[in-house]
Amino acid sequence: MQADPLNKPVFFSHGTLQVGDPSKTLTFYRDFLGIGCRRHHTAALSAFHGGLWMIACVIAGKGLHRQGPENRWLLDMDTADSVGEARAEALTYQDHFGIRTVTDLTPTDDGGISFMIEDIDSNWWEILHRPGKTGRWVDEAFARGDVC
Amino acid sequence: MPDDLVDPKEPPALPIDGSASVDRARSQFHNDGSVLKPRLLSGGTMVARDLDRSRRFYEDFIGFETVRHKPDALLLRDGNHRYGDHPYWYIEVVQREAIDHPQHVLNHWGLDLEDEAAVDRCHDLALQHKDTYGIRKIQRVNRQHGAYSFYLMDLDSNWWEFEAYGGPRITRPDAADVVPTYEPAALPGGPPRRLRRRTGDS
Repeated sequence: MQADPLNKPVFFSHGTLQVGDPSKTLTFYRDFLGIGCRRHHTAALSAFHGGLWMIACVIAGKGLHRQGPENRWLLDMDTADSVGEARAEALTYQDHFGIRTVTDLTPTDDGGISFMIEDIDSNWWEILHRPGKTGRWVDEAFARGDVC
Repeated sequence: MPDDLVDPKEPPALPIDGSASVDRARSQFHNDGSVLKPRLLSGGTMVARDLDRSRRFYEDFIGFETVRHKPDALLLRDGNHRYGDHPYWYIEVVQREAIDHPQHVLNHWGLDLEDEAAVDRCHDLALQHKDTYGIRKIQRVNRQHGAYSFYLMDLDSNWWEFEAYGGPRITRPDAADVVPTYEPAALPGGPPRRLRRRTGDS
Protein backbone atom coordinates (compact mmCIF):
# COMPACT_ATOMS: atom_id res chain seq x y z
CA MET A 1 0.00 0.00 0.00
CA GLN A 2 1.25 3.44 -0.80
CA ALA A 3 1.53 5.89 2.05
CA ASP A 4 -1.22 8.18 0.84
CA PRO A 5 -4.17 6.80 -1.11
CA LEU A 6 -5.23 8.64 -4.24
CA ASN A 7 -8.71 9.26 -2.86
CA LYS A 8 -10.00 9.88 0.64
CA PRO A 9 -13.71 9.13 0.84
CA VAL A 10 -15.48 10.77 3.75
CA PHE A 11 -18.10 8.07 4.05
CA PHE A 12 -18.75 4.58 2.74
CA SER A 13 -22.41 5.40 2.34
CA HIS A 14 -24.30 2.79 0.41
CA GLY A 15 -24.64 -0.32 -1.64
CA THR A 16 -27.24 -0.99 -4.28
CA LEU A 17 -29.36 -3.86 -5.48
CA GLN A 18 -32.13 -4.36 -7.99
CA VAL A 19 -35.76 -5.19 -7.33
CA GLY A 20 -38.61 -6.26 -9.55
CA ASP A 21 -41.89 -5.41 -7.82
CA PRO A 22 -41.17 -2.75 -5.18
CA SER A 23 -44.33 -3.48 -3.20
CA LYS A 24 -43.39 -7.13 -2.77
CA THR A 25 -39.81 -6.27 -1.91
CA LEU A 26 -40.75 -3.62 0.63
CA THR A 27 -43.15 -6.03 2.32
CA PHE A 28 -40.50 -8.76 2.42
CA TYR A 29 -37.89 -6.45 3.94
CA ARG A 30 -40.18 -4.98 6.59
CA ASP A 31 -42.33 -7.96 7.45
CA PHE A 32 -39.92 -10.86 7.06
CA LEU A 33 -36.32 -9.62 7.25
CA GLY A 34 -37.18 -6.98 9.86
CA ILE A 35 -35.08 -4.22 8.33
CA GLY A 36 -36.19 -0.66 7.68
CA CYS A 37 -37.36 0.11 4.19
CA ARG A 38 -39.03 3.08 2.60
CA ARG A 39 -40.11 4.14 -0.85
CA HIS A 40 -38.12 7.34 -1.07
CA HIS A 41 -38.59 7.72 -4.81
CA THR A 42 -40.79 6.40 -7.55
CA ALA A 43 -37.74 4.58 -8.97
CA ALA A 44 -36.19 3.24 -5.78
CA LEU A 45 -36.52 2.01 -2.22
CA SER A 46 -33.96 2.46 0.51
CA ALA A 47 -33.22 -0.21 3.11
CA PHE A 48 -31.33 0.26 6.36
CA HIS A 49 -30.94 -1.28 9.79
CA GLY A 50 -28.77 -0.23 12.66
CA GLY A 51 -26.20 1.93 10.92
CA LEU A 52 -25.86 5.14 8.99
CA TRP A 53 -25.50 3.47 5.63
CA MET A 54 -28.25 2.23 3.40
CA ILE A 55 -28.96 0.01 0.46
CA ALA A 56 -30.48 1.79 -2.52
CA CYS A 57 -32.89 -0.66 -4.11
CA VAL A 58 -33.39 0.33 -7.71
CA ILE A 59 -36.57 -0.78 -9.42
CA ALA A 60 -35.43 -2.73 -12.46
CA GLY A 61 -38.74 -4.40 -13.26
CA LYS A 62 -38.29 -7.35 -15.56
CA GLY A 63 -34.68 -6.39 -16.26
CA LEU A 64 -33.45 -7.85 -12.99
CA HIS A 65 -29.83 -8.90 -13.00
CA ARG A 66 -29.66 -12.24 -11.22
CA GLN A 67 -27.17 -12.48 -8.38
CA GLY A 68 -25.23 -15.36 -6.86
CA PRO A 69 -24.61 -16.10 -3.19
CA GLU A 70 -21.08 -14.75 -3.49
CA ASN A 71 -22.65 -11.28 -3.66
CA ARG A 72 -24.83 -11.12 -0.57
CA TRP A 73 -25.92 -8.88 2.28
CA LEU A 74 -25.16 -9.74 5.90
CA LEU A 75 -27.77 -9.65 8.66
CA ASP A 76 -26.44 -10.22 12.18
CA MET A 77 -28.68 -11.97 14.71
CA ASP A 78 -28.43 -11.82 18.50
CA THR A 79 -28.04 -15.54 19.18
CA ALA A 80 -27.20 -18.80 17.46
CA ASP A 81 -30.68 -20.08 18.34
CA SER A 82 -32.29 -17.15 16.57
CA VAL A 83 -30.48 -18.12 13.37
CA GLY A 84 -31.97 -21.60 13.54
CA GLU A 85 -35.39 -20.11 14.25
CA ALA A 86 -35.00 -17.71 11.35
CA ARG A 87 -34.29 -20.60 8.99
CA ALA A 88 -37.39 -22.42 10.20
CA GLU A 89 -39.46 -19.29 9.60
CA ALA A 90 -37.93 -18.85 6.15
CA LEU A 91 -39.13 -22.32 5.22
CA THR A 92 -42.55 -21.64 6.73
CA TYR A 93 -43.03 -18.42 4.77
CA GLN A 94 -41.04 -19.37 1.68
CA ASP A 95 -44.03 -19.42 -0.67
CA HIS A 96 -45.72 -16.45 0.93
CA PHE A 97 -42.76 -14.15 0.34
CA GLY A 98 -41.55 -15.78 -2.86
CA ILE A 99 -38.25 -16.87 -1.32
CA ARG A 100 -36.38 -18.80 -4.01
CA THR A 101 -33.76 -20.56 -1.93
CA VAL A 102 -33.13 -21.38 1.73
CA THR A 103 -29.76 -23.00 2.34
CA ASP A 104 -28.77 -25.33 5.16
CA LEU A 105 -27.39 -24.05 8.44
CA THR A 106 -23.59 -23.84 8.24
CA PRO A 107 -21.02 -23.25 10.99
CA THR A 108 -18.82 -20.19 10.43
CA ASP A 109 -15.05 -20.23 10.88
CA ASP A 110 -15.23 -18.37 14.17
CA GLY A 111 -17.73 -20.55 15.96
CA GLY A 112 -20.89 -18.91 14.67
CA ILE A 113 -23.66 -20.19 12.47
CA SER A 114 -25.42 -18.95 9.37
CA PHE A 115 -27.67 -19.75 6.45
CA MET A 116 -28.60 -17.92 3.26
CA ILE A 117 -31.78 -16.83 1.56
CA GLU A 118 -32.26 -15.97 -2.10
CA ASP A 119 -35.23 -13.63 -2.21
CA ILE A 120 -37.86 -13.00 -4.88
CA ASP A 121 -35.52 -10.54 -6.65
CA SER A 122 -32.58 -12.98 -6.60
CA ASN A 123 -30.79 -10.97 -3.96
CA TRP A 124 -28.99 -13.09 -1.36
CA TRP A 125 -29.03 -12.53 2.39
CA GLU A 126 -26.83 -14.31 4.91
CA ILE A 127 -28.51 -14.56 8.31
CA LEU A 128 -25.73 -15.14 10.82
CA HIS A 129 -24.59 -15.02 14.38
CA ARG A 130 -20.98 -14.67 15.46
CA PRO A 131 -19.95 -15.01 19.11
CA GLY A 132 -19.22 -11.76 20.90
CA LYS A 133 -20.33 -8.24 20.37
CA THR A 134 -21.62 -7.39 16.91
CA GLY A 135 -18.82 -6.08 14.75
CA ARG A 136 -16.10 -6.88 17.26
CA TRP A 137 -14.74 -9.63 15.07
CA VAL A 138 -14.01 -7.08 12.37
CA ASP A 139 -12.12 -4.87 14.83
CA GLU A 140 -10.22 -7.93 16.03
CA ALA A 141 -9.36 -8.98 12.50
CA PHE A 142 -7.90 -5.55 11.75
CA ALA A 143 -6.04 -5.58 15.07
CA ARG A 144 -4.51 -8.99 14.30
CA GLY A 145 -3.40 -7.95 10.83
CA ASP A 146 -2.83 -10.14 7.82
CA VAL A 147 -2.88 -13.88 8.32
CA CYS A 148 -0.72 -14.39 5.25
CA MET B 1 -29.12 4.34 -14.17
CA PRO B 2 -32.47 6.04 -13.61
CA ASP B 3 -32.13 9.75 -12.99
CA ASP B 4 -33.34 11.52 -9.91
CA LEU B 5 -33.41 8.58 -7.53
CA VAL B 6 -33.49 11.01 -4.65
CA ASP B 7 -35.16 14.37 -4.53
CA PRO B 8 -32.22 16.78 -4.65
CA LYS B 9 -34.16 19.18 -2.47
CA GLU B 10 -34.34 16.62 0.28
CA PRO B 11 -31.93 17.79 2.97
CA PRO B 12 -29.60 15.31 4.62
CA ALA B 13 -31.07 14.24 7.90
CA LEU B 14 -28.29 12.57 9.82
CA PRO B 15 -24.79 13.90 10.37
CA ILE B 16 -22.05 11.30 10.22
CA ASP B 17 -20.24 12.63 13.26
CA GLY B 18 -22.15 10.41 15.66
CA SER B 19 -24.53 13.11 16.85
CA ALA B 20 -27.53 11.61 15.09
CA SER B 21 -30.46 11.25 17.43
CA VAL B 22 -32.64 8.99 15.32
CA ASP B 23 -32.40 5.31 16.17
CA ARG B 24 -32.25 3.78 12.73
CA ALA B 25 -32.41 0.30 14.23
CA ARG B 26 -36.13 0.86 14.74
CA SER B 27 -37.72 3.57 12.66
CA GLN B 28 -41.22 4.21 11.40
CA PHE B 29 -40.16 2.21 8.38
CA HIS B 30 -39.71 -0.95 10.40
CA ASN B 31 -42.42 -3.44 11.29
CA ASP B 32 -42.20 -4.30 14.98
CA GLY B 33 -44.02 -7.53 14.20
CA SER B 34 -41.50 -8.70 11.61
CA VAL B 35 -40.70 -12.39 11.41
CA LEU B 36 -36.93 -11.91 11.89
CA LYS B 37 -35.43 -9.56 14.45
CA PRO B 38 -31.90 -8.89 13.20
CA ARG B 39 -29.54 -6.77 15.23
CA LEU B 40 -27.70 -5.18 12.35
CA LEU B 41 -27.32 -4.99 8.61
CA SER B 42 -23.57 -5.29 8.94
CA GLY B 43 -22.18 -5.38 5.42
CA GLY B 44 -21.92 -7.30 2.20
CA THR B 45 -19.71 -9.57 0.16
CA MET B 46 -18.18 -9.67 -3.29
CA VAL B 47 -15.50 -11.62 -5.15
CA ALA B 48 -12.13 -10.96 -6.75
CA ARG B 49 -9.79 -13.17 -8.79
CA ASP B 50 -6.49 -11.89 -7.47
CA LEU B 51 -6.68 -10.46 -3.97
CA ASP B 52 -3.19 -9.01 -4.04
CA ARG B 53 -3.88 -7.05 -7.19
CA SER B 54 -7.38 -5.99 -6.16
CA ARG B 55 -6.09 -4.95 -2.78
CA ARG B 56 -3.89 -2.33 -4.38
CA PHE B 57 -6.96 -0.85 -6.03
CA TYR B 58 -8.99 -0.90 -2.81
CA GLU B 59 -6.22 0.66 -0.73
CA ASP B 60 -4.25 2.86 -3.06
CA PHE B 61 -7.01 4.11 -5.33
CA ILE B 62 -10.19 4.06 -3.26
CA GLY B 63 -8.62 4.62 0.16
CA PHE B 64 -10.10 1.63 1.99
CA GLU B 65 -8.40 0.01 4.96
CA THR B 66 -7.99 -3.70 4.31
CA VAL B 67 -6.86 -6.80 6.14
CA ARG B 68 -6.26 -10.33 4.89
CA HIS B 69 -8.27 -12.04 7.63
CA LYS B 70 -8.29 -15.41 5.84
CA PRO B 71 -5.90 -16.82 3.25
CA ASP B 72 -8.62 -16.46 0.62
CA ALA B 73 -10.43 -13.34 1.82
CA LEU B 74 -10.04 -9.64 2.59
CA LEU B 75 -12.06 -7.27 4.75
CA LEU B 76 -12.57 -3.68 3.58
CA ARG B 77 -13.65 -0.71 5.65
CA ASP B 78 -13.41 3.00 4.99
CA GLY B 79 -10.73 5.06 6.65
CA ASN B 80 -13.33 7.03 8.61
CA HIS B 81 -15.05 3.89 9.78
CA ARG B 82 -16.01 5.23 13.22
CA TYR B 83 -19.05 7.48 13.34
CA GLY B 84 -19.66 8.01 17.03
CA ASP B 85 -21.16 4.89 18.53
CA HIS B 86 -22.59 3.72 15.24
CA PRO B 87 -21.38 0.37 13.92
CA TYR B 88 -19.52 0.56 10.66
CA TRP B 89 -20.04 -1.26 7.43
CA TYR B 90 -17.59 -3.68 5.90
CA ILE B 91 -17.19 -5.70 2.72
CA GLU B 92 -15.76 -9.20 2.72
CA VAL B 93 -13.98 -9.96 -0.56
CA VAL B 94 -13.48 -13.64 -1.32
CA GLN B 95 -11.02 -14.91 -3.90
CA ARG B 96 -12.50 -16.97 -6.72
CA GLU B 97 -10.93 -18.33 -9.88
CA ALA B 98 -13.73 -16.93 -12.01
CA ILE B 99 -16.43 -14.29 -11.69
CA ASP B 100 -19.65 -16.24 -12.08
CA HIS B 101 -21.94 -13.21 -11.81
CA PRO B 102 -20.33 -10.07 -13.25
CA GLN B 103 -22.00 -7.13 -11.52
CA HIS B 104 -24.27 -4.58 -13.13
CA VAL B 105 -23.86 -0.85 -12.56
CA LEU B 106 -27.09 -1.00 -10.55
CA ASN B 107 -25.26 -3.31 -8.13
CA HIS B 108 -22.55 -0.96 -6.96
CA TRP B 109 -20.88 0.27 -3.79
CA GLY B 110 -21.07 3.98 -3.09
CA LEU B 111 -18.52 6.29 -1.50
CA ASP B 112 -19.08 9.92 -0.63
CA LEU B 113 -16.25 12.30 -1.44
CA GLU B 114 -15.78 15.67 0.15
CA ASP B 115 -17.07 17.85 -2.66
CA GLU B 116 -17.56 18.07 -6.41
CA ALA B 117 -13.92 19.00 -6.94
CA ALA B 118 -12.93 15.74 -5.25
CA VAL B 119 -15.21 13.84 -7.62
CA ASP B 120 -13.63 15.53 -10.63
CA ARG B 121 -10.19 14.76 -9.23
CA CYS B 122 -11.14 11.14 -8.60
CA HIS B 123 -12.40 10.85 -12.17
CA ASP B 124 -9.15 12.27 -13.55
CA LEU B 125 -7.15 9.88 -11.38
CA ALA B 126 -9.20 6.94 -12.60
CA LEU B 127 -8.42 7.83 -16.21
CA GLN B 128 -4.77 8.44 -15.39
CA HIS B 129 -4.30 5.14 -13.48
CA LYS B 130 -6.73 3.00 -15.44
CA ASP B 131 -4.11 0.50 -16.57
CA THR B 132 -2.25 0.44 -13.27
CA TYR B 133 -5.30 -0.79 -11.41
CA GLY B 134 -6.97 -2.70 -14.22
CA ILE B 135 -10.03 -0.44 -14.21
CA ARG B 136 -12.24 -1.72 -17.00
CA LYS B 137 -14.83 1.03 -17.45
CA ILE B 138 -15.09 4.65 -16.38
CA GLN B 139 -18.32 6.50 -16.96
CA ARG B 140 -18.66 10.25 -17.31
CA VAL B 141 -19.28 12.46 -14.33
CA ASN B 142 -22.95 13.29 -14.14
CA ARG B 143 -25.56 14.98 -12.03
CA GLN B 144 -28.04 12.33 -11.04
CA HIS B 145 -30.20 11.35 -8.07
CA GLY B 146 -29.27 14.57 -6.33
CA ALA B 147 -25.54 13.92 -6.47
CA TYR B 148 -22.53 14.76 -8.60
CA SER B 149 -20.97 11.41 -9.35
CA PHE B 150 -19.53 8.84 -11.69
CA TYR B 151 -19.25 5.06 -11.82
CA LEU B 152 -16.35 2.80 -12.61
CA MET B 153 -16.00 -0.95 -13.03
CA ASP B 154 -12.96 -2.53 -11.43
CA LEU B 155 -10.89 -5.43 -12.70
CA ASP B 156 -13.32 -7.97 -11.20
CA SER B 157 -16.51 -6.45 -12.64
CA ASN B 158 -17.46 -4.80 -9.37
CA TRP B 159 -18.91 -1.30 -9.76
CA TRP B 160 -18.13 1.72 -7.58
CA GLU B 161 -19.81 5.09 -7.40
CA PHE B 162 -17.89 8.16 -6.25
CA GLU B 163 -20.21 10.99 -5.44
CA ALA B 164 -20.61 14.31 -3.70
CA TYR B 165 -23.81 15.47 -2.07
CA GLY B 166 -24.71 18.75 -0.50
CA GLY B 167 -24.43 16.76 2.73
CA PRO B 168 -23.97 13.15 3.72
CA ARG B 169 -25.98 10.77 1.60
CA ILE B 170 -28.42 9.62 4.20
CA THR B 171 -32.03 9.04 3.33
CA ARG B 172 -34.25 10.71 5.85
CA PRO B 173 -35.72 8.15 8.23
CA ASP B 174 -38.28 10.66 9.48
CA ALA B 175 -39.76 11.52 6.11
CA ALA B 176 -42.88 10.09 4.60
CA ASP B 177 -42.80 7.60 1.76
CA VAL B 178 -43.23 9.35 -1.54
CA VAL B 179 -45.15 6.33 -2.79
CA PRO B 180 -47.12 4.96 0.17
CA THR B 181 -47.73 1.44 -1.04
CA TYR B 182 -46.87 -0.57 2.05
CA GLU B 183 -49.39 -2.72 3.84
CA PRO B 184 -48.17 -5.21 6.48
CA ALA B 185 -48.42 -8.72 5.18
CA ALA B 186 -51.22 -10.92 6.45
CA LEU B 187 -49.13 -13.97 7.23
CA PRO B 188 -50.64 -17.36 6.57
CA GLY B 189 -51.42 -19.11 9.83
CA GLY B 190 -51.34 -15.91 11.89
CA PRO B 191 -48.35 -14.27 13.57
CA PRO B 192 -44.94 -15.92 13.31
CA ARG B 193 -44.11 -18.60 15.84
CA ARG B 194 -41.69 -16.34 17.68
CA LEU B 195 -44.41 -13.78 18.24
CA ARG B 196 -46.88 -16.42 19.36
CA ARG B 197 -44.39 -17.66 21.92
CA ARG B 198 -43.69 -14.16 23.11
CA THR B 199 -47.35 -13.37 23.66
CA GLY B 200 -48.16 -16.77 25.12
CA ASP B 201 -50.61 -17.44 22.33
CA SER B 202 -50.27 -21.06 21.19
